[in-house]
Parts: sequence; structure tokens; C-alpha cells
Amino acid sequence: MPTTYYLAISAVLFIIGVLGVLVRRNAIIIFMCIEMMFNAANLAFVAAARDLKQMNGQVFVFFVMVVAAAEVAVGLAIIVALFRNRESVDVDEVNLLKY
Amino acid sequence: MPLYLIVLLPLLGFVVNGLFGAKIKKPLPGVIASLAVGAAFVVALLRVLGLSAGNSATADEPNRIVETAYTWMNVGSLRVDVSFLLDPLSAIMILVITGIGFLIHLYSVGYMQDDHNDPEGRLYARYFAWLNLFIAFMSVLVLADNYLLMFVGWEGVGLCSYFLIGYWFKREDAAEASKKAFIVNRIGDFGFLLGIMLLFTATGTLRYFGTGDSPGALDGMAQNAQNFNAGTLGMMGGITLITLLLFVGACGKSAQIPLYTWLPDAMAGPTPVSALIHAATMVTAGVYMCARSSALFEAAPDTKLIICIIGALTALFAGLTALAHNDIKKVLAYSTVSQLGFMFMGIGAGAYVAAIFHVFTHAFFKACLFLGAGSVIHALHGEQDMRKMGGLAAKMKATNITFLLSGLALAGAAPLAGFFSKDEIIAEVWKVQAFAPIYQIIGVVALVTAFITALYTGRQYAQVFGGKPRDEHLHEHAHESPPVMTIPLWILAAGAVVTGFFGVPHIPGVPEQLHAFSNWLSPVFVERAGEAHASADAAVHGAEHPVNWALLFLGGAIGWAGWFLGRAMGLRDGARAVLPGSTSRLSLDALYNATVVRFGFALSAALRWIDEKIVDGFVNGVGVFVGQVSAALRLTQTSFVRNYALGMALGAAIIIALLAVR
Amino acid sequence: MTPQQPLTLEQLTQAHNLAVLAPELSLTLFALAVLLAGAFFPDAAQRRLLPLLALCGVAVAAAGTAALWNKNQVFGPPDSAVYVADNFALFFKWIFLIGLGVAILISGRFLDPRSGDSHTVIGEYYGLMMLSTVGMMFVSGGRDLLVMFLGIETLSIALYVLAGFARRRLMSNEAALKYFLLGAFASGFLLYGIALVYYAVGSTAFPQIAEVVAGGPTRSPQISPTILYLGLALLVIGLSFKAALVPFHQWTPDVYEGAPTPVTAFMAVGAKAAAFAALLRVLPGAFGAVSALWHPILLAIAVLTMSVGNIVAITQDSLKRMLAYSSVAHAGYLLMGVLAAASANRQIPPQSDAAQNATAGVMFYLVAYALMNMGAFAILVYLENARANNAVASEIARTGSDSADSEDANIRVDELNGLAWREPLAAAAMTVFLLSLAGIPPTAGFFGKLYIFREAMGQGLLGLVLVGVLNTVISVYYYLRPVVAMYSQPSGAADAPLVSSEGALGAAGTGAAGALRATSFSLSVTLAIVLCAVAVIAMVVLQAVVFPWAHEASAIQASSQVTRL
Repeated sequence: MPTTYYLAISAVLFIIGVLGVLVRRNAIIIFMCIEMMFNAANLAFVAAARDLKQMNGQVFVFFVMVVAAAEVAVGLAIIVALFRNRESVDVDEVNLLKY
Repeated sequence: MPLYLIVLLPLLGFVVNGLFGAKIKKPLPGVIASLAVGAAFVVALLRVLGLSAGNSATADEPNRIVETAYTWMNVGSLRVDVSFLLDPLSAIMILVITGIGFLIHLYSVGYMQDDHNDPEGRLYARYFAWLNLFIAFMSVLVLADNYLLMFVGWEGVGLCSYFLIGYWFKREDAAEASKKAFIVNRIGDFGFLLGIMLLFTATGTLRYFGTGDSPGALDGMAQNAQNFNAGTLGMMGGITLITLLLFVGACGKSAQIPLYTWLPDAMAGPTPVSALIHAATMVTAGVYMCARSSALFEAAPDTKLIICIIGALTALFAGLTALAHNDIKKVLAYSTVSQLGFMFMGIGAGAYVAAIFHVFTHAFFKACLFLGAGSVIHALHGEQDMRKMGGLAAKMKATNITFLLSGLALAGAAPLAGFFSKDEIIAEVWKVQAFAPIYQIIGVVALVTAFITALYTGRQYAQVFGGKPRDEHLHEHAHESPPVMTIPLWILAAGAVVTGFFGVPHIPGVPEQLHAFSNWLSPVFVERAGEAHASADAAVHGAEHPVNWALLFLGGAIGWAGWFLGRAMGLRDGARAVLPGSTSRLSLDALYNATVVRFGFALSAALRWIDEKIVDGFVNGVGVFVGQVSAALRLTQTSFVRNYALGMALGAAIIIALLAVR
Repeated sequence: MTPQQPLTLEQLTQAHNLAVLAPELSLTLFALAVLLAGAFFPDAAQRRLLPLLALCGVAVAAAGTAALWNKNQVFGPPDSAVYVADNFALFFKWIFLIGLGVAILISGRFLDPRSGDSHTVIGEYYGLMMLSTVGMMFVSGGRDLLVMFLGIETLSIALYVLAGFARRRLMSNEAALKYFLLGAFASGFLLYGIALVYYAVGSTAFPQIAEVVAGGPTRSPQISPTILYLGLALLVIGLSFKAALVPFHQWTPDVYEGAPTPVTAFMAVGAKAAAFAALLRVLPGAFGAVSALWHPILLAIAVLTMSVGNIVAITQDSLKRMLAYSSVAHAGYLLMGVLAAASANRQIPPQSDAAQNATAGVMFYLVAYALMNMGAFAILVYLENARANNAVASEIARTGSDSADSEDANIRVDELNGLAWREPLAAAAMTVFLLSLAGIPPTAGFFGKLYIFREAMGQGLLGLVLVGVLNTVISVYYYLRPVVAMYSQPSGAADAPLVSSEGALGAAGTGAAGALRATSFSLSVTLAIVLCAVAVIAMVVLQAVVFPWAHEASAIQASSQVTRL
């Protein structure tokens, strides 16, 4: 299969991720959509590495996974802290700071 | 003695008063400040005497001294030194600044002694600290040998002016006026800065004059003119653009249309500040800058015409507005705007000597008028409304006589200082050959404005000092000011009487010594385009004499006639103010009422309305508009994360569309 | 592209010169030491010890940076090194260290148990701040998109935590959540952009990208340039978010306002400088060959950023939020310098001298911005401390206990009324910082703007300069408001003075234990203010030293591209 097919799938994944961020209100789901954007990039990296016959792209994916894992840890902690103060993870209720 | 001492001494005064002023007992900070400026004046005087001793100026070997104190930045093509230039032009400016500055410091010691806005005297030292800092920055402005250093001084005096206008910050109007002055000046300043940067782009240097093989920005305009008109810069107007931008800066600092609105408001500051900053020195910085850049302006005749028109309009407009005001300081403020208009007429006509001469004489008589007004306000415990004054001549002899002399000088009554300098400008405007018809119209406007000047000055004098007291209570308590205030008045009044004789017009029969001013100054400026030694060789151009004589007499007549007419107006006006509706029995008065007064006052009242509602309203309106845009824009900050994400996504979509989809 | 030859272990150790990483490694080690010390020492000791330890880390890292200056070392084989310690990177490292050092100095009271977070973990606070700085350093030194990405993530993730460090405060929670969600969202764009560029070019290293883009613009004709441009667009978006450029700025005011003030200061300076280091390396550097494409877009972004930032700042009443908008506006001025550098590179023949001047202008501006912004925030911290002390004192006077919840709304501009009377030196320092931020000559901020505007003008970007100048005029208005307030009389008793007449140092002097502690961290805040003020003034006088230094740093950056091309 040509590499462009994989890229197309990764683009679809990316767009789904972006739309998810825009339409969902639950902080955790928004975060999962962001993870989907990251994974779209991972797929693109792997596909490109295969096309280039390089290992670099595949190694990048590991780095990205580490970053994503770190973000999960921090993100969930932030969301939990928020939940403890507000008993809600609805991002639309987080609106103290404005204008 | 190095030139930087002139800057350093007042700076030292600022540091001492700024750090320890609060701990020193009352008159002492003023004494320290006065001594600092006095010492600077002595240094300046010695250096200028040294300069004139070596006065053998030729075109090849100009009479100038450059002293570098410190290399400030040296980056690739940009090298800026903190170095000072003393030539005939900066010599005159620095003498005026430190000399009149010293007198005003002295006066301030008395004036600020019992300040009813600051009974505890907590601000006293701060006042003198700012005043000293102002002198230091003003000296930097005129002594700088490059545009960037001049700009630093330019902004520095703006900052000091801001703090001094807002000195009585408890008064709402003072705080507002200081903010307005600062912000309006920024507009001009950034025009100036753009002009400087374009000039640098075109010439590759910021120094006025080069040394050795590296030419300065103002040297060799013949070759530079090609640089100016080449490439992108040329397409944008080249030298005309640069000079216009420089003039925008001058407009802001020297209160010309449309950026003059801050100056009348600036009267909220203490009166000596108005005298020093808003009459004698800072506001003339724009004139100085244009004169300094005469080489550029001579290469841009279009700009000169625009300057001349704006100067004439400002002079006329502000003169008429002055007629409609009753606040003793407001009248003087509008008068300053008007006189600055005259100076720019001179610049626009290419008569730089005449313009600087007017700066010089104006500094004396206007400072004296302001200080006299301050003395009156001091005597009347803060009263500024002229309708409540009158009959002060007997009570305040020294103030009366000095105010009369300097008032006559402002009115252009022969043979006082203002007569010679104003007449010189008007004569020069008439003489311009390019765009001659327009310049002749401007000349007529200038004559009319000179008449109006005499009118409002005479009116003011009569209202304040003449006639009978209109507010007995105020009059009872009026008293002459202490000598520390009257001595500066006398010195300045003497200046207002004699300085005119340094610049008597070039007409046959006048001894050479009476042209001292132009002999001293003219080597600094380039010849007016298309005119070889027009004023120096007046004998050759015999045809000019009749015009000159006619103008001279016309000017003198206008001065005196306007003065007496205005005086009558003031007496009548003042009487009417107390007894509304009373008709005067004097037939002359009836004549005024029917003609000049009815029409003239209607016009000037209309102009005052335009000034306050439209021009000021526009300047304020821009602010209000920006504020409303701001209030609307901040509503986009909704606090909802998803809205922010949507904003990002939309921005991303636009960027992707522009970059990738094509 | 030839596939890379695998290296033997020996070659690897020879080629990979760990000395290049001296600043990063030392800072990381100290961060770990701070974390460990935080676990083992009692609270009171931690409060004294940890800032000192952290400052030692800053000093050692600064010394390491200084030792590498002009050495121009690379990590790995010179041709394919993804990490370099050129002067460009080292200069930025100093900026980060300035930000970190001042932020450490002003963090004292925030970590006080009575600031509403009794279980605040001091070690983690300083440790995270230091690790975030390590991330910034990696951004500045990375010559590879992936290194840059990892650096950005390291700095961001640490900042997400720091923004929400006041766990009990709703505003801090909110700031952290917003920063985290939007930051991760932007990282997604950035990462996908990197993936697309990697596919289109075949490498993520800047020199290779520059080479391929100049020739191709993609590695083979089969690959459509659209993919490269798409990747570039996504890169621009991701970096714009980090630099807070309009329309990717909306998080800035909220996060800056909600985060603890020392963290805001650190974020406003460090993260912004790092973003501009990346922008300078990526845009005029790696993608210089296609600058005709992105130049107009970034031009529009610069205009928008300056205008929106300044205009909205006008109507802000909270000093902190006003400074947040002001930092948005400053990003616009900085971007102007990036654009001037790119324009200069685009000329035929490339004016590398002008490009270098423009880059140096940006770097000079960043130093000035770092100092004046840190100074302004330090004053803000000072005022907040004073207010908290007063609250504590009055609480003690009222109830005899010191359990006051002193964490409340932000300082408003009109609360500054009359500050010049009670605290003349603080007011004077704030005036210096604000005038410098406004760019009034002869302040450091003015010269920063002068250098950038001059280069932009030299490249014929007159419209952009005009917008910049107009914006400067607008900005004077809101920078002047606090100055006016400080130098006017407090308008009656309704305004509880922030600082009592004896001044913050002696405030709350009713014998409470809190007063003593207040003094100890007021000292370090005062030190920070004085240092910043002196540095801002020194920058003006020492133009002839500071600018050439930035100029030297930008020279390496420019020439490394030229040789690769």
C-alpha cells in the first residue's frame, strides 16, 4: 500500500481529534481527543519511516509516547484537583477568569 | 571646562534633591537647584565666549566644537556617541535655557515658598528635582551632536514636563492634563522617531555633521539628495517624507495644529513651570530641531510650504482663541501657541535666523509675562480669572511695569524686542520666491495675526492692571511679591526691551553691530534655495527697501494700534463683566461693540468652541474610540476553554488555507 | 539522502561530548537535589535551604553557560549533531536563567503555609521550575524538530503543574486546566506538523530541512509540496501558541491571571523566550527558502498580535491581567524582528548582516523584556505580600489567630494610589519598569524597539513599523495608568492601602510571628526588584557592551545556516 494511504488515515484521525476537542465538554474526553491527535502523528511518523527506510521515525514514536504518558499523568492530576474543588469535570463550568 | 558639565551640574542637583530633598528644610532645595543651574549657566557662558573668540567661521571651516563624552553604542553601521556640539545655534539655545532657567529657578524659590496646594511642603524638593532634571535633559537636547541623543533629550524633557504639569496631582485637572500632554506628545515623538530612522536608512548616520572622511546626515546634501530619492524611500516621497515626519515631531512638542491641544491644558502646572517649559524652552525645541535640520528642509520646498501654512493657521487660530479666554494663564498659553506659529512661519519661509531670533526674544518676554502672571496669581491667592482682577497697577508696581514692558514687546510695539523679531519673520515670508502667491497670502495672515496679538495683549494688561478693582476683597489682600521674585522679572523685562536691537533689519544706515544676531547665526544655516545672500547683501537689492520700510512702519503701527484698541477693550470688557448689561457711554466703545467686538468676539468664541469641542473632542474621541474597541474586544475572552480552542482551530484553518491550499 | 551509518559504541562516546550539556545537566542535578532535600528536611528548614540550593543551581548553570561561550561545541558528530551549544543557544540560556533566578527570589511568600495551601510541597515547586528551565534550554539548543518538541513539552508539562500549584484556589485550578488542555491541543498541531515535515523532507534536522526545502521543496518530486506546507502551517500554529501570538493567545490572560504570580512571571519570560528561540531557528532558519509563503501570514499575525494585545490591555483593571495582555503585545514586537530577519535573508543576495542585526535585535529585546517584566511582576508580588501581611495583621488584631485567608482577587490598578508616598523606592522602580515596557527613551525597552523597528524599516516593512509605532502610542496609555495612580493621593479611606505607612517591611509589626517571616521573604523580593531595576538601567548605559554581545550570539546562528545552505 502506498504511504499516502496511511497518511490519509492519520489525517482523518487528527481531524476527529480536533473536532472532539471542539465539541466535547468533559475534560477527560477532551484530553482523550488530544491523545488521538498525538497518535495520528505517531501513525504518520511510522508511515514516513517505512517510506524512508529509516529507523528515526519509529524511534520518534517512542519519544512521543513518553511525552504523552507524562501529559496523562499531569493532566489527570490537574483534572482530579479540579474535581476535588468543583465536583465536576465539565470545562464549561470553569469560567472564573474572563475578559 | 568640558561641555558635559552643563548637563552634569543640573543632573547633580536632581540627584541631591531627589535623594535628600525630603530631609532638607524648605528654601534649601530651591537654593541648591538654583545654584546648580546658575553654575551650568556660567559654564555655558564661558564656553560660548570661547567659541565667539575663535569666531572665524567660513563655509569650509564652520565654527563648531564637538566633544565626545562616552561611546554609547557601536554596532556595525550604527555608532552613537554621547557627544556634545557647540556652535552658534546651540550656543544661543543653551544660554537661553540655562540663563532664563536660572532666573526661573530663583523666582520659584519665592513662588513655591507657601504653596497652598501643598501646605506641608512635602513636594517642595521634588519640584526642584524635576526642574533640574528638565534643565539637564533640555541641555542634552540642544547640545546633542546626533539625532538619537537629541531624541533622548526630547523624550526626557517630555517626561519632566509630564511630572511638572501633574505636580499638584491632587487636582483632577492637573493629573488629566499631564496625561494628555504625555500621550499627545507621544504621537509627535513617534513621527519624529520614524523620521530619524528613515534619515538613518538614507544617509547611514545619525550625526549632524561628519568628521574627516565620514560625512554627517546634514553634510553634502547635494549627493545625499540622490540617496533620498532612490529606491523604496524615493517612492514614498524621499526627503519630503522625512522632513514631514520630523515636522510631525515638532508639531507635537511645539504645539502646532493639530497637536496643540495639550499646551493650554498644561497650564494646570505651577506658573514658573509654564514660564520655563511651556513658553521659553521646551516648546521651542521643535523650532530648534527644524532649524538644526535646515539643510534637510531646504531640500524639501513642499514641506516648507506645508510648515508655513500650518504655522500661519496655528498663529491665527490660537491668537483668536486667546481673545476669547478670561483665564490669565490660558490667554498666555494660546499666545504661546500663536507665537510658535510665527516661528514655524519663519522656518517655512526658510528664515531660520529670524525664527531663532523670535525664539530668543520670545523666551524673554513670554517668560516675563508668565512670571508676572504668576506674581499676580500669587498676590491674589490663586485667582486666575481676569474678570476679577483690575486696578492692580498701584498695588504691584514692579509686576505692573515689567508686565507692561514685556506685554508691549509681545504686542510688537516698536522698538521693543517682539517688534523686531516678528517683523523680521513677516518680511522674510514676503520675500520667498517659490510659491510666491501663497507665501504672500501667509504674509497677510501674519500681519493680521500680529494685530490680534497686540489686541489680546493689550486687553489682558488692561483687565489685570488697568481700570478699577473689580473684586474688592481680592484687591484688598493683593501685595507685591518679594524681591526674589521681582528681580527675575526686572531682568527678563530688560531683556524684552533690549534684545530686539541685536537683530535690527538690514536696511541702509543701520550700524553693523545691530545685526549681531544674524551675523552670529547665519553661517550655521544653508542659503535659502534659489536666493543668494538676499538678506546679507541688502544693498544690492535696492528694490527691497521700500517694502522693508513699509513693513517696518506697518508693523510698528499695528503693534501700537492693536495695543491701545485692546486696552480699551479690556477696560470696557472688565467693566461689563462685573456689571452685566450696562452699556458703555463712550462713543468709541459703541463703535467697537458694533464692529470689531461683535464680529470679532463671535468669531473667536466660535473658534474657542471649535477648539474645545472639535479639535480637543477629536483628540479625546480617538481615545474614547480605542477604549470602546478595547471594551468590545475583551468580550471575546469568554473564559470558555472550548471557545479558545475554537479560536485556535479557526486561526489554524485560515493559516492552513493560506499556506497549503493554493 | 544516504542512510546513516550505525556508529560503534566507542565512536558514540567520543563524538558525544557531554560537556556541551553542562548547563542542562547541572541544572537537572540540582533540581533532583532540591527534590530530594524536599523529601528529607522539615518544612521550616526547607523554606530556607531550598531556594538557596536552587539559586546555587542557577549559578552553576550560568557558569557552565559562560564556560561554553564562543566554544561553539556540538553534541554528536558535527555533521549530524542535533544538539548544539552555539552562542545563540547560550545567550538564550542566560535569559532563561535570569527568569528562573528572579522567579526563585520572588516565590517566598507563595510557598508560605498561610498562603492558603498548607500542604504546598516546596521541593517540587523549585524542582519543577528548574526542570522547566532545562526544557527551555533544550529548545534553544536543539537543531532538530524532535529535540525542539521534547524541549517544549518538558517546559510546558512542568508549567502546567506550576500554574495549578495553588491547589486549593479555584483560579489556579482553572489556569492549570486551561493551560493544559489548550497547550496539549497546540502540541498536537505541532507534533503532526513535525510528522508531515519529516515525511516530506526525510529528516527533522534543521540543516537538512533547509537544504531540501531550498532545492525541492520536498525530497522527491512524487511528494507534493502541499504536504510540506501543511506541515509548516501546523508548525507555525504550534509555535504561535507557545509564543502567545494572536489568534492563539486566548489562554494567556486567563492563565497568567490565575497562576501564582511568581509562576506567571517565570512563564511570561521563559516560555516566551523559548518560543522565540524556536521561531528564530525554524522560520528564518530551516524554512528560510520558502519565506515568501509564510512571511505575509506572520506579518498579519504580528499586526494582530500587537494591536489586540495593546488595545485590550487598555481596559484592564487588574494589574496582573494588564501585564498579561502587555506580554501578548510584546510578542508582536518581537515577531517583527523575526520577520525583518527573514526579509533580509530573502534579499538577493542575502543580507546576512541585516539578518544578523535583526536577530540580535530580537535577542536584545528579549533580555530587556525579561528584566523589565520580571521587575514588574516582582513589584506585583511585593504588593501582594504587603496586602497579605496587612490582612494577617488585622486578622490577628481582630481574632488573635493568624488563620487569615489572604489569597483573594488580584491587585487592581487603582489600588496603587499613593504608593509613591508610602513606598517611594518601589514606586520609582515600578515607574522605571513600566516606562521601559512602554518604550519611552532612554529606557532599555526603547532601545529594544529601536533596534527591531530600525531593521524592519531597513527591510522596507514600513507598514509594519507604522503599526508598531501606533501601538506603542496606545500602550503608553495603559502603562501610564499605574504610574499616574502611584503618584497621586489615595482617594479616601475606601481604599484600604496596600502598604501601611511604615512600609511593607515594618508592616504587621504588632509582634506576630508572621511579621518576622514576612521580613525574610520581603528581603529576597526587594533584592529581586533592585537587581532588575539596576539591570534595566545598566542595559541603557552599557549599550556598547550588551548589544554587541547579542550581535555576536546571533552571528553564529546566521552563519551556521549559511554554511549548510
